[in-house]
Amino acid sequence: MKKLFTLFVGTLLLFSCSSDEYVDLPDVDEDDIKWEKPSNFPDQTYTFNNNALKKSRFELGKKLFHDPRLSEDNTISCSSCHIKEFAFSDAGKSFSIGIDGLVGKRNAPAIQNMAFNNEYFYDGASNNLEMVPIVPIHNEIEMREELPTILDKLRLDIEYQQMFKKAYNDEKMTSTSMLKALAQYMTLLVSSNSKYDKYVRKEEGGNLNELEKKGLVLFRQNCSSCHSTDLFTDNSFRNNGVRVNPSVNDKGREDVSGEEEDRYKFKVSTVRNVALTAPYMHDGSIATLEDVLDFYSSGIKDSPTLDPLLRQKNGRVGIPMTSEEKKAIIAFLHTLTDYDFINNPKY
Amino acid sequence: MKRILSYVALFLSTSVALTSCSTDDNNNQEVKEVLVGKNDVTFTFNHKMFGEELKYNTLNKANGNNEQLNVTFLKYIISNFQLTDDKGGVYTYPKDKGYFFVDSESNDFKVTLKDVPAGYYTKVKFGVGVDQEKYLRGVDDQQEFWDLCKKHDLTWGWLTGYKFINYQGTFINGTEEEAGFQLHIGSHGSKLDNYKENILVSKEEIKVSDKYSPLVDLNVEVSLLLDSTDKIVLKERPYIMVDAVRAPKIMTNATTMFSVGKVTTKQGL
Repeated sequence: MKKLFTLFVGTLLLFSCSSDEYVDLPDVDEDDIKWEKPSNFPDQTYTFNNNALKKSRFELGKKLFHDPRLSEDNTISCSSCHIKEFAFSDAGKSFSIGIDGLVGKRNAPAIQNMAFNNEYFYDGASNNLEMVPIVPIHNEIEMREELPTILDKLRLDIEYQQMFKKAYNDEKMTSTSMLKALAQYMTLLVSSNSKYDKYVRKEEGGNLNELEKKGLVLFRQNCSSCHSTDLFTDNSFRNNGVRVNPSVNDKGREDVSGEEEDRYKFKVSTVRNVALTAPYMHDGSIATLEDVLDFYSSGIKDSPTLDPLLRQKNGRVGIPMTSEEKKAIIAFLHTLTDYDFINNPKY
Repeated sequence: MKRILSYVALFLSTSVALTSCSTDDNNNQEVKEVLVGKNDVTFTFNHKMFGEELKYNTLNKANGNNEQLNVTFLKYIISNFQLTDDKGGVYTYPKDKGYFFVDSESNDFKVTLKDVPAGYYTKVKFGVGVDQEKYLRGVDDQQEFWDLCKKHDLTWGWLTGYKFINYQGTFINGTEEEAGFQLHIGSHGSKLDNYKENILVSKEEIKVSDKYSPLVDLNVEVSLLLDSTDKIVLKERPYIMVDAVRAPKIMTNATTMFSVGKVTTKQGL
């Protein structure tokens, strides 16, 4: 009752005070985490509705993320294919290895800055971060598990019992809490401290050399229509002309939309931490950054849904770049590596 | 008992009043029993094929597309019930409890709306499928329902979406060989919202009060799913999963399947 009264008074204060004073209100809960949007980022899309940031929730999400009990035979965790040192992508593999050694059909994307995104997976299979883990969990060749079964396994673990209770006051241990905690962990995987970030925010350590600066200019001219904002993606789906692997024939966005106009369109990946996330493209078919730029200048495969931005006025496809320009762009791309992110002991 | 009898008498007199008057509606309503409290409303889904009870593993007569269907599986999701009373008042069933799946295999599948406020309801509105608003609310609102749907094969594994309709079986087009069909219809990510609603008018009033808990027959003419506003020829595409052209048409057809049949007002004290 006392608590309720405090809350009531608190609410009154909120209404009566100006926004500046609100910041000065005493922190009521040590478990709270304050969301800090990097100043050079656009607004986040995840709303934290009914899932306010808490240390205990983040910790629960972290434990779940690394727990192989989320798979049918307790061998595959999220972190099996999303490895911190590689910006939560899969250590040089084109396709990841799932349950029973089965091989997937898409390259495991880096997990970073998820709170600023509103559609997930290369084809937009989910538009709700809290539902994202369902896809790999249910996938027959990834984790092949059911949510109720996972919770049955976790309920036997006294540590989880305590963590669910602390995080969500959930003694029953529901899949709702599990998915919320995983979402919370993912929202806090924010990569925003690369050399480039420090450069644009004019912070210490943000010195780009001449080549990197030249690369930045070229990148803005040639790449930023799609790799836009400081998220380095416009979150759209596009066909960038990667050759179709006939053994997979991955139709991309069409799988979700059912529309032919979406054939071979895939989510524009961010180029943050791109030096860590080889191989490249949705199918991991391109090994190095040099190869990626060669692909964009001369390797693009034309098809009816090829993105119009990749068509030149002279009718040719691709982005013309000299080898000098490519070197500069690659030098710039390396400034997007965020060592604070991959070395952060919190993750 | 005496009390019940008096209600029966009152009901009878109301009926007489209703049938005898024809011009002045307001007078009629004044004679109507005043209903108070709340109660359950139960819908029984009677699935039919050309007016006959739907039977699985039975070859039905040809539809308007000259195709005979043998149904082996039909489940779907309904949601967002709204009841409109005789005075035009609308009662919206709480969203957090308002999602149900329907299985057509047993012929008396029931969906119960709890604690509906008293009234003489004449219209029933509900949606087929799951609206985007609910989906975007996150897991808070839907986890139990998701798990339930997963169990009943009403979710997509590779897409975090619900199958609004899962319809399977075999079909014969004209004199051709029997072939399998499978329809998984839902929304297509953020690209195409296939959730659709319908409004049904009940000939009989659905009377709800602390004393009356009505049973409402919902007739579902399954043949209309492929042969209604739009014609869906299975021979052209027997496996319809994510199809931007056919999926919305099938959903529109689905909203035409339902009609309110008999209303039984049982005394639920």
